[in-house]
Amino acid sequence: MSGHHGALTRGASIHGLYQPGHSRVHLLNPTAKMLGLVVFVTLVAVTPRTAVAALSANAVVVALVMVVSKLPARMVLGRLAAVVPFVAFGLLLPFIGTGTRVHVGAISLSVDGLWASWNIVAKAVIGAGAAIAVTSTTAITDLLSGLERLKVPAVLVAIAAFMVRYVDLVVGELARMRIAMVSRGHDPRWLWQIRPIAASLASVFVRTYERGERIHLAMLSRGYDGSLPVTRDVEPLRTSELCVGLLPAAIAFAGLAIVLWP
Amino acid sequence: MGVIVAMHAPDGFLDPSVAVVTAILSLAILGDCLSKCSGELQDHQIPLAGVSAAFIFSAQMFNFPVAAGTTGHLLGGALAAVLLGPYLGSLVVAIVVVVQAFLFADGGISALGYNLLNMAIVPAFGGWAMFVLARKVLPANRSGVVVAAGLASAASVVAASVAFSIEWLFGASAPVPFDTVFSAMVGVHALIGIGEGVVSAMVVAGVLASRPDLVAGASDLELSQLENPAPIGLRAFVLGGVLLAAVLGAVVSQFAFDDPDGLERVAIDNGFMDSAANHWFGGSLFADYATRGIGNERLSLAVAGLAGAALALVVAYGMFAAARWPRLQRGSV
Amino acid sequence: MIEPAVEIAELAFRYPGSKEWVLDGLDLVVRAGERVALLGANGSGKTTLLAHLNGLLTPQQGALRVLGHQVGPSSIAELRRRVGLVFQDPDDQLFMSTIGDDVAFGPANLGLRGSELERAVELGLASVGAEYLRDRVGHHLSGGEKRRAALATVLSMEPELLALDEPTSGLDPVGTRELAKLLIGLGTTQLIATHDMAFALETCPRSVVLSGAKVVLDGPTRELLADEALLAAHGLALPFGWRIPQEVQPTEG
Repeated sequence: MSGHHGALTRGASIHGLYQPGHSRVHLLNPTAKMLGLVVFVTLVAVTPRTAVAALSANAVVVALVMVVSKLPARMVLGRLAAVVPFVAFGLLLPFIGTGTRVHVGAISLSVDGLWASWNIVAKAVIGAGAAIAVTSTTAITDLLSGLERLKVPAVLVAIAAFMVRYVDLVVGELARMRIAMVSRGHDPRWLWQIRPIAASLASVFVRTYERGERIHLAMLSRGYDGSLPVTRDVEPLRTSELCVGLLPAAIAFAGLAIVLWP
Repeated sequence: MGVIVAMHAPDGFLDPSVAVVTAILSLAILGDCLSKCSGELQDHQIPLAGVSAAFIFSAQMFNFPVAAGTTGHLLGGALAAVLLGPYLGSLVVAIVVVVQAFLFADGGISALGYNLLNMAIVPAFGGWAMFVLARKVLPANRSGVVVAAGLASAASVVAASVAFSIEWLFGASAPVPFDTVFSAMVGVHALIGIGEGVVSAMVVAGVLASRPDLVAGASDLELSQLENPAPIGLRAFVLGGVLLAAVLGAVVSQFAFDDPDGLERVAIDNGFMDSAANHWFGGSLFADYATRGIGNERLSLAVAGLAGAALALVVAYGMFAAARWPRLQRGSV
Repeated sequence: MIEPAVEIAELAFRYPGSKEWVLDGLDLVVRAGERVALLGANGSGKTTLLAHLNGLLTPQQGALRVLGHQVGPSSIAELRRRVGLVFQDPDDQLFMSTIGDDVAFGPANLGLRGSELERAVELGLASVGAEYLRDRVGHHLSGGEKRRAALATVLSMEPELLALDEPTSGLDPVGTRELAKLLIGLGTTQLIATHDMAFALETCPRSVVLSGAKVVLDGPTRELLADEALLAAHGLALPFGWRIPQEVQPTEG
């Protein structure tokens, strides 16, 4: 239903999101990239929908970043599928919207609905595109340490890191159980037939939790005392890199400023 | 459509003011959760919370059949609360939501405020409130915990859809009236809630059967109390849920469309029309948005006020109940 | 005379809430530099015994001295540093984002930072020939690579005693051979719990058999494995078509 469902069931893994490369975007400091991403999408979100030129410029910026990063178009389009349901919803709005209507041939469209449609589709695509550009050019470990640099509490980043590390394993276990069930002829079609599926979810939860307990023992074995140690030096964030990271955001800000200028 | 709208909303889907207000609210509540959990997170809970997040993430990708071959999947907010307790549960689901936004572009980064509220906080605390209430009337045994978990999970999905509808009222980005969004969202989610409730209940039953100590929501019971098997048949459970949802849906639609005056009067009498809207979302800032594109403004405000106040009460009760829950902290490994 | 690496007398343990003793009156002495195979059927207490060695479990009855320390609250920090425990499932041991971080986890907990930490990581990776795995993610390694990486995570702490739980599970024959060669080359005292008789014969001159919560057999691996009837009496069996060839001598470390 959303992007990640397709992405992982097709056999890709959470670690497959990163597209290794040596472009300017790849090499940029991860914290600069992530800060740039957050500021950029926030500015896009607050840009008025009537600022067609500014939003179009933002879309061009995202596309340029993707071109510089040499991201494969097929991959980008595939991952943009995450916003398809919302784009579909957006495209419905001119038909179901209220207020003044315009007539295009035999079709009657709501003016307000058309604007809303444009607003949702444009911002969803620009926002998702920007996130894809950053996550495809940054290794997951760098994204996680970037989150920490952006003042997300270390405990939460650590939990996220454990999640990222073990999610493929859990997905694999669920997939194997599903295959085992289907191969024994269990192919439920109604909600009241799903006890075996729920039972497999339960047993995967228990197994996953027990893995967590063993991980904790493995941590204790290597001297863990309840506070996570620093295992790597975080790359210092240079002002010049920060400026490059904030460049798209600066363009979005300029667009917004021109629109809002009285 | 309803399902999709409630989950992983993209950037710019709701008005920026709603994004800001919900972001502040979500951060405050999650910060509180973090400080409540910090003692446990010092030690063994970090890897356990991490693998639990991996489980919730995976469970959300795991399709199950609903009817005639159509499928649904878990949202998992209430399930996480029942298994891990509401504080850690909502933190874990929140981490899943944040990772999905950053890594998968699934849900906008600027939309995290309302996505966190709708997918992590409201389901976990709303679900926990329902769970605690249901536990009070149900027998203190395994069936009681299982049925309470099912009811809580079903209610949590509906609560999430109510939360989204109210946000839509204050920050609609499109000219679709609140009434339409509200009835469509709540109606669809009442149905989705059945699946969520059934699957969550059975997952909790399965976990209770092998590792009852892993269910935080049953931590007040002795092992001997958890030994009896569930006496209710699954088919009866599902059909009962459908019936309940149908009745609920009928009642809600009556309120929303057929008897506006009565509801409006209730709202005015109780002062909800002013207080609920103003207190929850910061008042005059939203006055313009509430009137935009909504057919019957006063009715919409009344419904939203009631629903918002009820939801706020439920979530607050969940937090209150969580704070008082006995033995929420699990024993060590 | 050098003090034994491990000295266990009358050790008994049962898990909380269980009536059954997993270990009950277990005696074992391991001299420094020895490699000892720990054989026994599933549930015979091998893993429980290993978990005592670095204080993950503390003795409920009996005496347990490891590297000259009585195992107890006061020696736990010291033992966690000097005893390397390698878990059965490498995925439990490789929990960090990259292998490099995993190998750094132990030394970093010991307080190493900067260049000291870097040296420890390089040492750990180099001793298993896994320098190339440093920036890789644990999930994507082969069985053999995972096993070596898991070993590196404890070798970076320069342990004096290695305790390995089923190190050959999930390994193909080539991987098993490589691991045997690696362990023989390390020279540290090792206690290896395993089901793999051929691996025990190759790596460990001495074996002990756990059965009925205590050590029931103790002797040269080759002699123990030659007595099929005795093994069968303790729930062990040799691989199909397997006989100890008389000319093969257990490798001396």
